[in-house]
Amino acid sequence: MGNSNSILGIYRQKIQNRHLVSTLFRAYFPIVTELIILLIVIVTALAFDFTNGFHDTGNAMATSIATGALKPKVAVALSASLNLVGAFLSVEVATTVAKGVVDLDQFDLSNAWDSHQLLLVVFAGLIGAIVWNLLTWLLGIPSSSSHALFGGLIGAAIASLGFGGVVWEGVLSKMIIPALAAPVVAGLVAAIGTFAVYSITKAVGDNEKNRYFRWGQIGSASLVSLAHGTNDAQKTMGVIFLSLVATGHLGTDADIPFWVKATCALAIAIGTYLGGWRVIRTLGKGLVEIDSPQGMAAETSSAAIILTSSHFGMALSTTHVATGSIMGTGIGRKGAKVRWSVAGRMAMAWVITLPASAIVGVFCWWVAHGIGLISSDLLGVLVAFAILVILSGYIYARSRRVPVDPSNVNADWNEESNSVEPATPSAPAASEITEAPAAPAAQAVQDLNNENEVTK
Amino acid sequence: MNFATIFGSIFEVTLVGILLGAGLPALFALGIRFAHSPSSNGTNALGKIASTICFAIIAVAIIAGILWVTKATIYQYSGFDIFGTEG
Repeated sequence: MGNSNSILGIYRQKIQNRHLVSTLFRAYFPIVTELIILLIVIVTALAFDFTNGFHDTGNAMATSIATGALKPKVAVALSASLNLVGAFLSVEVATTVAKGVVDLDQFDLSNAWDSHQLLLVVFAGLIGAIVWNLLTWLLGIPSSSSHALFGGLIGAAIASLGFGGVVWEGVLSKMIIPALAAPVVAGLVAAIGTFAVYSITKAVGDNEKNRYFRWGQIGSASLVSLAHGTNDAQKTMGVIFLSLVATGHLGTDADIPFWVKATCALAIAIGTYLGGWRVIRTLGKGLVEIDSPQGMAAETSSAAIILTSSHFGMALSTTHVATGSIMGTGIGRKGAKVRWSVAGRMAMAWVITLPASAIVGVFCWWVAHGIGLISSDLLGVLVAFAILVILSGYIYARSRRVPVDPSNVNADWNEESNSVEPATPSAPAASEITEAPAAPAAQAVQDLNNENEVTK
Repeated sequence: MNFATIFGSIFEVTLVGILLGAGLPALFALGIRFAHSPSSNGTNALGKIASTICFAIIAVAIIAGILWVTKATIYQYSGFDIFGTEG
């Protein structure tokens, strides 16, 4: 009798304990969950910042790498340092992300449900942007990171708020028209510059000429890198800032915390240093075969337009301007040709950047939100994050089949496939062991070929 | 934002782009041309001076470019409004 009573007592005690634990759990779980979700969003934002740097290295450095003004590794190191400095220069980070394109003010941040919804929109938008950046990198297509981010946010905002969540007039005037104008304007400026440079220096020997123009190229490319760091890292800082405001960790008029600045600066610099070699290769070798005077004209055109365009009320994307400039140098030089099929594929990618990243944004928002409704918010976010990790892993694995790296970034362009992946030798390398020593040899053959071309 | 303003902006960007983005490379090319003037020895000194002037203008443009990128930062920390664009 007493025995069973004590057993009952223990059970009762256990049940009480469990009740206490679950009460504590219920009280603190939302706070912990929210903190974990916030951390995941911040990590995703930094991942976007990384792909932003990674994807855009070519805008500044592709021409210097292609002409041999800088060794590939030196070029990306220089660009990464300047991006780092540029990111630290950022001030007045906007608390509003994609202002005038997505109407995120519709969320009432004093309301916990709305705050969580805003966080989900930002999160899903970031995933859309990262996936698009990685996919275009795999195909070696330079596409605008800010278009990808805005596209992702537009998709997530439509899913969350309906079509009223998007400022369509802003989409037209801040995204579509600038994207159409940028390549034309930059192409025109670079073509005029290239034509002038070649006409004026006709009488100067090639070697002397190139010595000067290489320095000109490095200078102008450095300015593009610095401007890129200032403009683009700021976007991610804005996203993180908004997430911190949404979760009540910061007030709307707070200063940007130093750790946000530092992590964003590092993420974009590391991304730039790793170098999106595929994009670099398309810009430096695929679109136009470039010489130093052309490279200098292209980068100066890019620098001038990128630095002044926002002042005149038309912020043009770095990528669109850089690509347009490089095309322009092909048009402005007698005898040079632009590979229009490569340019066409690029234009196609630009057109679908917005809808494609928007679709990923919609999808990820529904996954995160849908699972959040039937289970917990945290699980929804985790599943969406897992989708991002799996997709990124797949794209990375796919890129390793025919890697493009500093050793083959300047290899001859494959005219038949027009693919960014250099034509592999007829017998594909059997193993990594044979591949490793083969790379310098291939480079030597490549150099020899280049020399032959020059002497021809 | 109406179309007139948009095309006005595009026009301005193009104009400034041609002035700086094509003008500076042309000036740089001119500097090289003067420095390596193929004509007789007599003009070399003059060529050196002309090329130095060209390169000096470009150096000023580069410094202006760097200041332009950092103008908001300089204004924030020192209150000095270099181009009169911040206030």
